[in-house]
Amino acid sequence: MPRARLGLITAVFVAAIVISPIVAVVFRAITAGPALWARAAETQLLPLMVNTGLVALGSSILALSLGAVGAILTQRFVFRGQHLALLTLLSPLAVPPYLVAQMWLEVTGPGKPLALLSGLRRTDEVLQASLVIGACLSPACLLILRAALGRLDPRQEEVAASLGYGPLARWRLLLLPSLRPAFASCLAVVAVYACADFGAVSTLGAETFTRAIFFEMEHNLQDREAAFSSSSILALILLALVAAAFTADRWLRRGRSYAQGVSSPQPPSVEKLSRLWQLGTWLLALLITSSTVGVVVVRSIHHATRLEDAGRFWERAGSALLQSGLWAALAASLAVIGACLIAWVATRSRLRWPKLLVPGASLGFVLPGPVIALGLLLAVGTIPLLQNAIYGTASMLIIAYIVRFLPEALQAIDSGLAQIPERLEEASRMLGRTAQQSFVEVTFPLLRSSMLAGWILVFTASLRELPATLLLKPLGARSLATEIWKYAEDSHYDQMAPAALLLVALSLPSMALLLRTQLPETTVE
Amino acid sequence: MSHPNSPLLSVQGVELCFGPQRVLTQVDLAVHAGELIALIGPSGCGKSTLLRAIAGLQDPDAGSISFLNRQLFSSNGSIPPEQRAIGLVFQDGAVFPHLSVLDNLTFGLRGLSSSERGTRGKTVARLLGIEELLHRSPHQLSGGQLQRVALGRALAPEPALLLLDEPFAHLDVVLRDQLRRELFDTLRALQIPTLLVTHDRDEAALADRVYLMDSGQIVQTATPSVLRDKPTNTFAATFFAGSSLLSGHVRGATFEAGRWRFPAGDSLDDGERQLVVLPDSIEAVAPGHGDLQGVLVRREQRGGLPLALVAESSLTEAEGADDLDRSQPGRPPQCWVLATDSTPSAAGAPVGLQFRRPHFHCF
Repeated sequence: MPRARLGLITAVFVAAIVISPIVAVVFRAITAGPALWARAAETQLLPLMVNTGLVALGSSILALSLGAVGAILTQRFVFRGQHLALLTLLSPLAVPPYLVAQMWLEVTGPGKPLALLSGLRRTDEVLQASLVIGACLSPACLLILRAALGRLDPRQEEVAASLGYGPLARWRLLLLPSLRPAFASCLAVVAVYACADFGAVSTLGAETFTRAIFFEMEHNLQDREAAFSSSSILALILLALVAAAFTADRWLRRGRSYAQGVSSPQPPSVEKLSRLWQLGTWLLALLITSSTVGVVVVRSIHHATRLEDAGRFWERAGSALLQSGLWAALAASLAVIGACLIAWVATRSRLRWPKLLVPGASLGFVLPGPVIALGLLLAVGTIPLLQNAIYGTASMLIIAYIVRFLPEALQAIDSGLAQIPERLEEASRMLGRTAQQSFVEVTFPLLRSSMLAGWILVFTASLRELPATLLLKPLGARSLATEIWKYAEDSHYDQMAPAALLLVALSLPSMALLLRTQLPETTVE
Repeated sequence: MSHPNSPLLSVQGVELCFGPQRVLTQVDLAVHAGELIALIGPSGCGKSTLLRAIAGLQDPDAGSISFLNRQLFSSNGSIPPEQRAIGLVFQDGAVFPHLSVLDNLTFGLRGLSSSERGTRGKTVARLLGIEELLHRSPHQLSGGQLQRVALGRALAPEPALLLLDEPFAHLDVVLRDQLRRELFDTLRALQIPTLLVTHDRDEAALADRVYLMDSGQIVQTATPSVLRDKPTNTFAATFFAGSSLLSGHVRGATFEAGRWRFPAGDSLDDGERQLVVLPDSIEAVAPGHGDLQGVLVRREQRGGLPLALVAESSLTEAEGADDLDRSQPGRPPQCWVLATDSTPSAAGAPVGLQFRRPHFHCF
């Protein structure tokens, strides 16, 4: 069928675009020559590896600890105000870590409300970066562990109880071993994010790979080719670190699945939380939320109210929002179309190899922004015609967003499509519809909510993206993230406030989407 | 039923492989006007794959499929499913969850005005007894109602051929019998030729003709009564009719299995043979009566019939526990027969066997 073949070819093309930056970076690093490798090894590699590894380790342990406590308290127990506590624990997702890092520096500065904590600022930058990233990513661990806890079969615990095992023994012998794969996932997700983070580590001054790649590319303008080669070497080592994190995850999960099946026959067993523990839960939730989203929102409002010539800065933030909103909307729309195509081909093709398109197109998830920017510049540079057409335009940036965030749309759409039986499309074809008409009339209406979820996720993430935007945006163009970065670098927090508040406000739809998936699982009195 | 006319649907020499696994081998099949054909076989024998090939959802590797004198599939190419004018009902119904019952029923009615579609949808709904459900969503329907909607949706465009892929498999026994009876009456009234895939022999027995399939091949084609009484191989005998097979010798016109003697007809050569014992061809009666004597192993209800497993002589405990319906080397012959009021109920009790037919079929 020619049309089916066209769909397959287009899906392969989209996946190839996503993979091309990695291929370009790896190729450039391998062919960089021994001199550049030797220079990198002598001057940078060891401290960068140590720092990146420590940020990844520290933030993932912190995020896992906070997420695990939150997940257990909100999933295994019931108490009054449980939904609100869950919302509070998830709230850090509304702010990007670089904004938290910037506000942390602001609020602990001399004469500022938390100047008492300024001693912490003098501690190691790696520790600070780990604290910020760990706190901001604790909701990701909370979600993973809540899902894993929700899928445990409560009958196992009932059987253990009937055999004389108390609550602590049941946790030690049954629950914790069952949750081991989820713990590994949490560590891997946060470690990969920490390896890829640029904004928070740079703000706090931690010397990691992403920061080194970014500054190599941005500041070494005299010898651009050498800068690209040096950056590629660093990027390749970083990708190896990310691959190591994933391998560790797979090793920890070996031979185990999350739980007993897709869904338990009974809801998970829950117990009432004592007043003392309720108080502890609220203290934890308030600590996490106040140190992340709380500090950003409160201080931004504070600065916004003192802003001189406020109209001009709100207008400037508004125009940045329009511009970056347009880029993000285009990236989200194209990513959703690409994700639909890949997911459809992968799930509906009778061939086996198209199923590899989904993991292939998901590789962007682990790529740091500076590496994507570098890879795109290298890949586009190999085709002069393309380079002349899109170099320095918003197209490069939109492609970077698609490469980086298509996995988020793909995850939403692929799981949505997996729940739509192929039989429905076949039934439609037996009733006179072509494959394309069947998709429009049957599959699309059923997939709409997954596509919308994917769109919102990519839109929000693109709006917040910082390093690739800094490296690839057209000259003179502004985005909310670059506005925040620019003013924060000069400690102009008043002028930064409008952009920060708009960015937080625009994160609310994805928060609402997230809550919609979480609340039905929670049992309340 | 004889069919002097050429068939509406003709499947010839169809072959299909999934990777290294051969799923269909040289399959020939024909459906004539107004016929209800059953395609029966064990799970995984390839019957649903054959149905999908006829529907156009799976292209064979070789062979040809023609319908209404039009080549649907051949080595020259394949006509897509939407252009075949064939209706298909899946095992799970595959009712569109985002459409109302009425919208589901009228989904296949293209080229009609809205009012014509509505009228046709209501007519089909009335035919299937779901007219009160027209504005409901599929998630508000029971399993039986959903399957009626799926049947109605396939019938509404008045297909020239209807394919049914185990459409009653998900229903409970009572509902299955009721819906099956209603549907077959409707199909015969509307004269819609139908190919029904099933693994239920009671269901297949209601068809005009039966294609028996095993391991991707058609092993016998006949009317249900011929398939039951004159199976051409042991698989047909055991799978379709639920017969027991006895191993023994034919001497003259008599089949001998241990001390048992059966009339086997006089057209057979002497030698080692297998005898087909249909469960209702022998009655278990009081000991001392009937044509043969045996021992009761156990009684059971099977396919709505009261049956008794009877052995030629006493079994050891281990042999008696075995649930095989056929004689095994080194153990006394045994077969399932019809139980009556005079059949003893205690295992190990002597029992008489009364033949209900003049001779038995042998291989």
